[in-house]
Amino acid sequence: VRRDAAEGAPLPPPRRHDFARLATALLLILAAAVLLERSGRLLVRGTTLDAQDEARWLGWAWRRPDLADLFTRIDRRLAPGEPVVLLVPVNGWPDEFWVAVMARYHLAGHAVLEVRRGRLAGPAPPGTAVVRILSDGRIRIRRPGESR
Amino acid sequence: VSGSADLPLLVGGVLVALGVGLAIGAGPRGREGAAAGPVAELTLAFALGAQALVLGLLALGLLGIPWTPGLLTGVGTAAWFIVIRRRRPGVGGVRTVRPVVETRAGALVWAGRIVLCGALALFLWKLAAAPLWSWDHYAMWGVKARRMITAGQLDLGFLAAREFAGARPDLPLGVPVLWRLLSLATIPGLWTFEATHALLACGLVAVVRAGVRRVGGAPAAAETLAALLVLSPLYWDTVGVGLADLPLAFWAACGLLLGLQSLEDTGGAAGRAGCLLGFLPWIKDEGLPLAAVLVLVLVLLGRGRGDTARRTLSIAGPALGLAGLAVAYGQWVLPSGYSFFGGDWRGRVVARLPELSGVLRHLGGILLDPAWLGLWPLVLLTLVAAVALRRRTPALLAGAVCAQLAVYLGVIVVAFPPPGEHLDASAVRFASVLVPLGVLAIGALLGSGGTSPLGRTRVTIPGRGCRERRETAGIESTASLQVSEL
Repeated sequence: VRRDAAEGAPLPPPRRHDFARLATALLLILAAAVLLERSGRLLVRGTTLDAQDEARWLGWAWRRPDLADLFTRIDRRLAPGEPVVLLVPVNGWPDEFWVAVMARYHLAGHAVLEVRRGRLAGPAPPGTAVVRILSDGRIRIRRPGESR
Repeated sequence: VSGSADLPLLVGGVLVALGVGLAIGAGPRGREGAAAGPVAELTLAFALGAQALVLGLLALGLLGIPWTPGLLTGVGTAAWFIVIRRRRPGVGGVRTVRPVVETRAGALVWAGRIVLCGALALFLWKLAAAPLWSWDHYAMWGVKARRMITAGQLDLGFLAAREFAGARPDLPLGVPVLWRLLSLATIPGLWTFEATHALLACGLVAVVRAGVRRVGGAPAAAETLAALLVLSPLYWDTVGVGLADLPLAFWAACGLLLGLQSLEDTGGAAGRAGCLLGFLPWIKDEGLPLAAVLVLVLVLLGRGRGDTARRTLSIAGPALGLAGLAVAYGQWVLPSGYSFFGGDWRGRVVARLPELSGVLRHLGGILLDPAWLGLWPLVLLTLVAAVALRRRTPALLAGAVCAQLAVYLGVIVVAFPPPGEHLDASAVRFASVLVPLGVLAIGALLGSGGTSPLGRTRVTIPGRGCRERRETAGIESTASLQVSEL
């Protein structure tokens, strides 16, 4: 009888190996079937976003595929560390809260003081850049005190 | 920032972390030899190095010392210089070598490898194709990584601003600093978050494969269970990209693997395992109970193997120390955020006790979703079978999963968000962190580790000063033993 040298206990009987092999084979068949099914779906659709949390959260986050590009363009036109007030079009854009979250993420080097739809309610604070995103994706930046 | 611009930074960041890990004694040339295989050992070295650098950067931040690409490059260069110059003859002139165990890989092993490679390829494909990320990335984890440095200095002042109140300023900073480290202190771009996720995911596969073998699983079981891990929501649900759940699972698995190695090794593996587990509270709040549970598992597994007190101290000491520092950092350095336990939590518990069965059903509904591939019932079955068969390793590992789920359930009942909404918002990600642990439990049950906690044979070769270990678990009886480096 083979024995474990450290503890002196008998090594497991071959029957356990048979069970382990069978269980492993069943798990492998399961994994292979899932792999094939998901591969097929990815091939057909390009991507699949139907996992539990994907279905729940990605709809919130991914509302505008052009967002990263847009904020990169804005960032290039701002002075380092320049505070920003952001104006987005009244129509065709998600709520201000969402835009503010995204702006604070993408404009990492700037303080995003305010996000509004349409126009500013009053004068912008001194030293800020008022960034207006137009509905066609163009950007206009105005600084208080600058001539129009 | 485009991926092509981020790639050299990421390669540099990984090399710096790896160099530091190897310099502090981890990796294939460490005292234990390539005990878990070269890829897993390099992964452990990366984990230790990255962790040391993250904690070092946070300490530098407290001292007002700037984080710069030059500083990190210098540290990495020095570390690699030490690694290359170092000669490691072994401990006290005794060289610990890893015997080559020749096994003929059967059809099941090859099938497992093919499925694992396919699952990894599919995961990477989806990762590249999926639009990212979730609310938590933009509002919490990602925004911290991108804003935490001002003019080279760690500046967490923005977290106190009203507009960042939703960023949970009190959450640990380990992962944001890790992203910053892997982009060599520059602002991490979209590609860096994805690539870091892929890197940790691949490392976790190597660690779990090694872990299944370490707990006595056969090679085919290791490949198969690793494939199931990759197909689980931890990988497949891309909402986790840019969040801290995969890093938490990665560090927990690394700590567990090194802790399991330490049960047989006399080197510094126990201390390093404790360090890895002590890093968990620096990643996420739930890392604290997870670290406590895993330390307890390792201590219980080590009972009866001799020198229990020393091993317990070696693992629990660094783990407790680093966890305590994480709590202190959160208490005194980070701005306070809203607490889940704020308000009349006792009143909430009393009011919710009658709803407990409903909460359990809700959680059960989430965990029994087909996306989990039946993993949780299998873990529960593993626990029952292991207890019935008196198999200590699978019982403790599956028990650890249940204990951590119980902690989560407790938080759900006590915290102020309504339990249903709270479960919907976090249960998948919370449970996904426990998948590697569940997989290891199943691997331990399938393995032949019933006779000893790890199912291994210790062989001493007299007169040569070499201690050998031969794996018996899962190896066919035709296996032959060759000793190299004698």
